[in-house]
Amino acid sequence: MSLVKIKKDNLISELQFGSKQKEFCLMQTKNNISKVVAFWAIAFLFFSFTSQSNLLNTKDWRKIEKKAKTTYHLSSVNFSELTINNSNGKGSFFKIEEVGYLAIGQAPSKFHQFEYFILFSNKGDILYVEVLNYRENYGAEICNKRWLQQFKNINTTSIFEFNSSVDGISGATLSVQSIRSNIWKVAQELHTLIKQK
Amino acid sequence: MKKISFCVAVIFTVLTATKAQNSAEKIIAGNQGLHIGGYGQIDFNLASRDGTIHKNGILDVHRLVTFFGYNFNEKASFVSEVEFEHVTEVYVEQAFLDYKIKDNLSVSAGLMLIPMGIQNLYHEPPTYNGVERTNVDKYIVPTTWRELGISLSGRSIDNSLNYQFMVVNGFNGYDDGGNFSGKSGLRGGRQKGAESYITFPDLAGRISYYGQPGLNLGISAYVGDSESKAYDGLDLADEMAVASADSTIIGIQMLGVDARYQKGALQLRGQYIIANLSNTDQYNAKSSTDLGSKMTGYYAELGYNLLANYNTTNELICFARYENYNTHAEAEKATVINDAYNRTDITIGLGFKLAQGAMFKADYQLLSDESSENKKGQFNFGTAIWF
Repeated sequence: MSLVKIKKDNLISELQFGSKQKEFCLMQTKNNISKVVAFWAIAFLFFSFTSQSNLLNTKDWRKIEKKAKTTYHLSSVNFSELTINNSNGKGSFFKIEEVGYLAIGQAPSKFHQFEYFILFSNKGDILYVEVLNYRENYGAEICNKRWLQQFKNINTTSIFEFNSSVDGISGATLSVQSIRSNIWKVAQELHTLIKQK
Repeated sequence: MKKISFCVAVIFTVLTATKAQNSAEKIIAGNQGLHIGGYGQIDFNLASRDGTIHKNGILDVHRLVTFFGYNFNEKASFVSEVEFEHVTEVYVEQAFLDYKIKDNLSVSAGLMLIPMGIQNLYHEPPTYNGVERTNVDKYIVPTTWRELGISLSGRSIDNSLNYQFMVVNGFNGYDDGGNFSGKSGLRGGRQKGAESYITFPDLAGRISYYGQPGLNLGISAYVGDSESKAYDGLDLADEMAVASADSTIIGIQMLGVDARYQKGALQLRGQYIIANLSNTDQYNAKSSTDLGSKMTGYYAELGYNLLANYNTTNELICFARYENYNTHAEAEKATVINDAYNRTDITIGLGFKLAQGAMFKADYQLLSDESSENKKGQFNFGTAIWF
């Protein structure tokens, strides 16, 4: 069963991580205090990074829930998070009942970051894309729902086909590129996840 | 002790890091951080021989702009652009602090671009066709037009609307003498944030609509009076002096409409700008110049990506543009309309996009004005980058 497998992978990586840590500690014992300070600083940075994290709020979740209900014709939805063993991943993935997947992604706009979600079919085809929080005027054109419809059932196996089926928007070059490449990567990640099953 | 604290630090680091990796929210991380970017254009302009008169070509690092932005937290961010123009001139193009009141509404203060037309806001060279910026956006909208002030910008995603409103200092219309002219319009009056001064605050605004996929429509407006040093230290009880100072002020009402459309390989864009200027007779008499009372400019451009159906992400865009700009569309009684200020440019060219932010450009321009039948030709070649 895939979930078990993923967990096992996780465990292995954690174990590996652990042993590396030990080696690292031994190697570094002779080093001076400045390194210790530096590592504390890094630790602090990581901490501040996570503690400042801007979670999707209930309003966003309500939006996702509502859309999932209409897309999959469900009266109630349950999202169960899939753990992925890929630290460089672009998306967070959730299984929606037995009907499909939800991915939440984040991508840069000109000065800020925006969040969006994708609803996938069980096979990994894109059914729906919506931008949740867009934080600047530059490139806000990509939030247009009719423009985002281009991603519905788009070819996610050939990057050329994929890229050429998305029309650009003048004035939103950066954001178009950003969401396009992000959706491509998230779709690839989901394909891998499905294969692992 | 050192060892222990070190190990704790490492474990702590790894723990917090793995927590960040594995939690569902990892990607919705904070947006702090430094953003570095830039854009530039390097040009080669070659004017055709004028009869038997030879013209040298000009090679120029026209502009090189470095972008530094810093997000302090979710709500506060700083944006700056420092520009080197023709290598030796240094300008600050933008420098403002932005505070997000709500997710879709923010207030900014500092040196900002005036939202007028397309190119003053979207001026990164790979975003437009042609080596040089359009002349409508040089002579009518004096791009890059930026002034100091406060701006409110926001959007309604559900209605596909962006808006921006600004209170800024106006042009420096008069200091030791007049800075406006019939030929260049308001261009000479830009204060650019360098020890700017203000007599009257001016207002600017822009609304854009993007409800139709691929189509972007914009309306821009600017209203206000130019600034004048003749007002500094003016005794308002002295009627003669006030009347004299009043003749150094130009009232400005500028309105622009623009449209951009992109569908597959096809790109269309157009813009119309009209500027009504008041008090020009008094101003011209005082400054011995020939500023018109109405300026207009428009262009229409058609572009097509020849590589749209090929298996490549490169783009080869061929384009044609018709452009007219007239800084003497109307003039008050004392000023004779100069037909040489009614100019028409026809530009055809190619742009080869190696990536979204990297482009080689080549075009040919046919430049003419209403004062004569002569047309001047000019070849332009350029390197355009943006990252």
